Amino acid sequence: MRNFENKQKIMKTSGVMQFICGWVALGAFFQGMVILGWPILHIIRHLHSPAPSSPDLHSTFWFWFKLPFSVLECIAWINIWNFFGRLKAGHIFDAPTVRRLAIAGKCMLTGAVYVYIFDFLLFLLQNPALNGLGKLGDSTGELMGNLTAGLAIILAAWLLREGQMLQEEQELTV
Amino acid sequence: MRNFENKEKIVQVSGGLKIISLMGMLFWGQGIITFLIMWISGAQQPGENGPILEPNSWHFNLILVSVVEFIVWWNFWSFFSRLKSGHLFDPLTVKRLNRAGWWKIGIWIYSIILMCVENKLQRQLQTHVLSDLLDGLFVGVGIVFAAWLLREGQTMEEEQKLTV
Repeated sequence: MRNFENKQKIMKTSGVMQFICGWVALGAFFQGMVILGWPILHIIRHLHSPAPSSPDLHSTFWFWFKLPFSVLECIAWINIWNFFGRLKAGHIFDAPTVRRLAIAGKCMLTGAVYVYIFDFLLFLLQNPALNGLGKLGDSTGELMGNLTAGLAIILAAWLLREGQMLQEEQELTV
Repeated sequence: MRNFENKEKIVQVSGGLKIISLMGMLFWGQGIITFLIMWISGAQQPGENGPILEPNSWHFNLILVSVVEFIVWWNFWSFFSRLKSGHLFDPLTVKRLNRAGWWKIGIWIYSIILMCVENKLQRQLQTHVLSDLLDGLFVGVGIVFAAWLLREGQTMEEEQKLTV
C-alpha cells in the first residue's frame, strides 16, 4: 500500500504557496500599471504647466522600457500561481502543471536578461538626466540571482517532466 | 522506446548550476575564514554609528551565518552533482535538496531572532530587512517543497521497479 502522506503535505503547502504567489502576481500587475501610468501623468502635468526645458518629461519615458520586464514578471507569477493551484488539486506529474512551471522559468530568464540589457544601455548612454538608474554593478548581481532562479525553475520543470514520463509509463504497464 | 532527451538536458544544466553552487560555497567559505581572522584579531565593525552588538558577538554572528550558508550551498553542490551523474529520483538526491531547504529555513529563523535582538538593543524598529527575511523564508519553503515533489517521483520510480 502506497503512503500518501507526502502527497497530502504537497497539497496542503500548495494552498499557502498559491495564496502568496497570488499576492505577488497582483503586486507585479500594479507595478506594471504604475510604470504605464507614470509617464502619462507627467505628460498631463506638462500640458497643464509647460516648462521650456523639462528633463523630467524626457526621463519618465524611460520608465516604459521597464514595462516588458513587469509584464514578464506578472506572467511568470500568474503561471506559478496556476502551478500551485494544480498541485493543490492533486495533479502533480501532469502535462499542464509541468508546462506552467516551464513557462514561469522561461519568463524569469527572459526578464532577467532584458533588465540587464536595459541597464547596460543606460550605463552606455550615461545620460545625466537618468542619473542613478544605470547602476550596472547592482544589476549584474541581480542578473546572476535571477538567472540562477530562472534556471532552477526550468530544471524543476524538467524534473517534473521526467516524473510525468514515469507516471505515463506506469499507467501503460498497469 | 523512452525519450532520453529530457534527461540529457537535466544533466547538462545541472553541470552549470553545480559550478554556480561551487562559487557560492567558495564565497561563503572565504567569508568564514575572513570573519574568523577578524574575530581572532578583534577588529571593529565598520560603520558610522559604531557597533550594534559587541564586536565579538557581531563576528560570531557573521561566522555562524557564513557556516550555515556554506552548508546550504554544499548541499546544493552535492544535489546538482548527483543530478549531473544521472541520479534523478534517488533517496540521497532528495535528502540533499531537503537539507538545503531546512538549513535555509533555519537561517531565516536565526535572522529573525537576530533582528529582534538588534531592535531591542537599539530600541528602534528595524523593518527594512523584513522583506529580505521573507524572501529567505519563501526560498527555503520552495526548496523543501521541491524536495517533496522529488520524493513523490522517487516513490513512483520504486513502485515501477517493483512492478518490473
